[in-house]
Amino acid sequence: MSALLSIRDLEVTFATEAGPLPAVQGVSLDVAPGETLAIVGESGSGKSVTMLSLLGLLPAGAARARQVVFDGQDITALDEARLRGLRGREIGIVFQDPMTSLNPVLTVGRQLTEMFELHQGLSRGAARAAAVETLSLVGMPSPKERMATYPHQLSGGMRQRAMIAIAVACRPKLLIADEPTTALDVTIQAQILDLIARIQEELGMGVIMISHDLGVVAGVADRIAVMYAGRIVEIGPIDAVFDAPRMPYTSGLLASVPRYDLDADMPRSIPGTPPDPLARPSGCAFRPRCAEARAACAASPPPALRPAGPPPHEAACILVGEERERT
Amino acid sequence: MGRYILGRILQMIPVLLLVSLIVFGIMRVLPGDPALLMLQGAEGGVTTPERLEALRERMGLNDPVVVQYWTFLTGALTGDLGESVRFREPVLDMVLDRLGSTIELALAGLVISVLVGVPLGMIAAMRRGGWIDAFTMTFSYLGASMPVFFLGLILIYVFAFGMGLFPSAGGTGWRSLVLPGVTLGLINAGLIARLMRSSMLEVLGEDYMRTGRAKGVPPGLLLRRHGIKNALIPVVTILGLQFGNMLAGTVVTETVFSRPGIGRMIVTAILAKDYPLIQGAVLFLSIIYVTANLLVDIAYAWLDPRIRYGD
Ligand SMILES: Nc1ncnc2c1ncn2[C@@H]1O[C@H](COP(=O)(O)OP(=O)(O)OP(=O)(O)O)[C@@H](O)[C@H]1O
Ligand SMILES: [Mg+2]
Repeated sequence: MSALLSIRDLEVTFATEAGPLPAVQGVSLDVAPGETLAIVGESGSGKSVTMLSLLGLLPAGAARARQVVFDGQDITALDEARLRGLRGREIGIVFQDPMTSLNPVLTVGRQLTEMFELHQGLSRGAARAAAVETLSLVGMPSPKERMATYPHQLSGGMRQRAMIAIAVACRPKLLIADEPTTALDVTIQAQILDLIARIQEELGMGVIMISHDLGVVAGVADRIAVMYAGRIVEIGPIDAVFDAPRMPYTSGLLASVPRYDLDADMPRSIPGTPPDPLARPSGCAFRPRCAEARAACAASPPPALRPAGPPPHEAACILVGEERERT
Repeated sequence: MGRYILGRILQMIPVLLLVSLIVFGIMRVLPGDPALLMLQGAEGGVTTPERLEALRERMGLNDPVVVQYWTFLTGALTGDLGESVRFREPVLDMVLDRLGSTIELALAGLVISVLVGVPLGMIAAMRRGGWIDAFTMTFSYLGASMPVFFLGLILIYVFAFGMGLFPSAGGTGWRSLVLPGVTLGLINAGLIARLMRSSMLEVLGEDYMRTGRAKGVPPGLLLRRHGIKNALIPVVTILGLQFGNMLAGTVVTETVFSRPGIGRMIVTAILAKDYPLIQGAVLFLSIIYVTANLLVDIAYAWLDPRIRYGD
C-alpha cells in the first residue's frame, strides 16, 4: 500500500545569531493511511520542527527536503496558496497547550466555523451546523451552548477537545498531535488519547503522535520513531521496539519509564543531557552519553535509516551492524 | 456585560467625590486670601476692607471648611457653581457654552490619533525593520518631543497662511476643526503607533496565530480576524489616559487657534484669578475625563471576553 505521507531527507536549519542551527538532519519517514506513528524523543530533538516544516510553517528557507509526498503529491513543489489549502483541510494539527493555542477573543464556535467557511465554502448557517456536529464528535457536552463560550471559560480538557475539533473539522487525512496531553491533568490525558484513537478510527485518518512520554504512546501507536539530536535513531513496529530496542538511547528511554509491575527495576534516567545543537559531537550524537560507545562511533555518523520496506525495524547504531555480522 | 457596566458606573461615584474634594481644595490651599486675590484681579486693586468682608461673606469663606465643602458639593450637584467674579455670569452657563467645542476638539484629536497611529503601528510591526518601521519610530519620538503649540504654528503657517485651505483661528464648522484636531491628533498618534507596533509584534508571535496559519487562514484574514482585536487590547487601555492628554492639549491648542473652549477659558480665568470659574471648568474637565475612562473600560470589555466574563 502506498504511503499517505513520505518524507525523504528532511533538513531544517535555522539562521540564528550564533550561526546556523541544524534542528533536523536528514529525517525520512513514512505514514500509512489509517496508521498511528509515534515520534518520541527528548526536548529539543526536533519533533515539532519536523511537523511544522511539513505544514510550511517555518521561517522561509529553513526547511529543505529531497521529497515530501503527501497523498500522492509532492508538496515541496507547492506554492504558499496551495499549501494553505492543505493545512487544516488535509492535515490537521493539535498543539500542546490549548490555552495559548486558541484565540482568547473569539468564541469556540467562531474558531470552528471558520474552518468550514474557509475550506468548504459553507454559509454561516451551514458552517454552524457542521461545527455543532464536530463538537459532539469530540465529546463536548451540550455542543450547541458551547459554541458561544470563550476558551478561558472551558476546562483544560474541554479546551483540548475544542482544539481537536478544529483539527478534525474538515476530516483531514492526516492528524498531527504535538504532545496533545502534556499540558493536561493526568486524569484527563487518557480521555484525550482515547478520543483521538476513536476519531481516527471513525474518520480513517493517519495520525502522527508526538510525545516525550513513552507511556503515552505505548497504548496508541502502531509504529514508533525515536528522535535524538535532529535524527531518527530508531524506527519500527511498537512491539518490536519496546521488546527489543536496538539502539542504546531507546533502551535508555525505555528504562526511564516508571513501571508498576512488582518485579520491575526502578526507573533509571539517561545520564547527561542532549548536545547543544550548535556543537554536536562528531559521529553519533548520542556517543557521549552512551554506555556502549566505542572508538568507531566517533568516526562517522551511523548510516541513515531506510524508512520503509524490510527490515521494518531499524536503528542508526553501530551495534546493529555488528549484530548482523555475527549472525 | 450589563452588570459590568453598572459596576463601573458605581465605581465612578467615589472617584467623582474625590474630584470634587480636590477641586474644592484648589481654592483653599493656594496661598493668600482668595477673596482678596479676586478683588485685586477683578477690580484692578481697588480694595476696601468693607468690600473684602462683603465678598468673603458672599463666598462663604467665613463658614467652617466642612460647611463650605457641603455648600460647594450640593451646589455642584444642583448645577449651581457660583458666579464668575470677572464676568458676573453663572459659571455653569459659561462652562456649558464652551464645553461642546472642547469635547469636539478632544474627540477629533483622539479619532485622528487612532486613525493614524493604529494602522501605522500595525504596518510597522508587519514590515519590521523596513522603512515604514523606521518612519514610525521617528514619528513617535517627534510626537513625544514636539510641543503642541509648535506643531500648531507649523500647521497654521503651511495650511492656513500658505495654502489657505483651512482657517487659522476661531470659527465654527468642521473646517475650523481640522487644523487643531490634526495638531492634537498627530502629537498623540506617535505614542499609539508605538504601542500598537509592540503589541502587534507580540501578537504575531502568539501560539494562536500559529494555529491560525496551521488552519489554513490566509494572512490578511488572519491579521484581521485573529490579530487586530488582540493587539488592540493594550492600546485601548491607554486611550483613557490619552484622552487626558487630549484635554490637557486643548488648553494650548485652543489658545493657539483662538478657539472658544474650556481650555482657553481656564487660561483666562487663571490669569484673572477667577476662582469660581477655574473650579467649575476643572470640575467639568474631570467629569469628562472620568466618563471617557468609563467608555474606554466598556470598549476594553467588549474586546476582551476575559474581562467581560471575569469576576
Ligand atoms: N524558530 C526557531 N528558530 C531557531 N531555532 C529553533 C526554532 N524553532 C525551534 N528551534 C530549535 O530547534 C530545535 C528543535 O526544536 P523542536 O521544537 O522541534 O524540539 P522538540 O523535539 O519538539 O522538543 P519539545 O519536546 O521541547 O517540544 C531546538 O533546539 C530549538 O531550540
Ligand atoms: Mg515540541
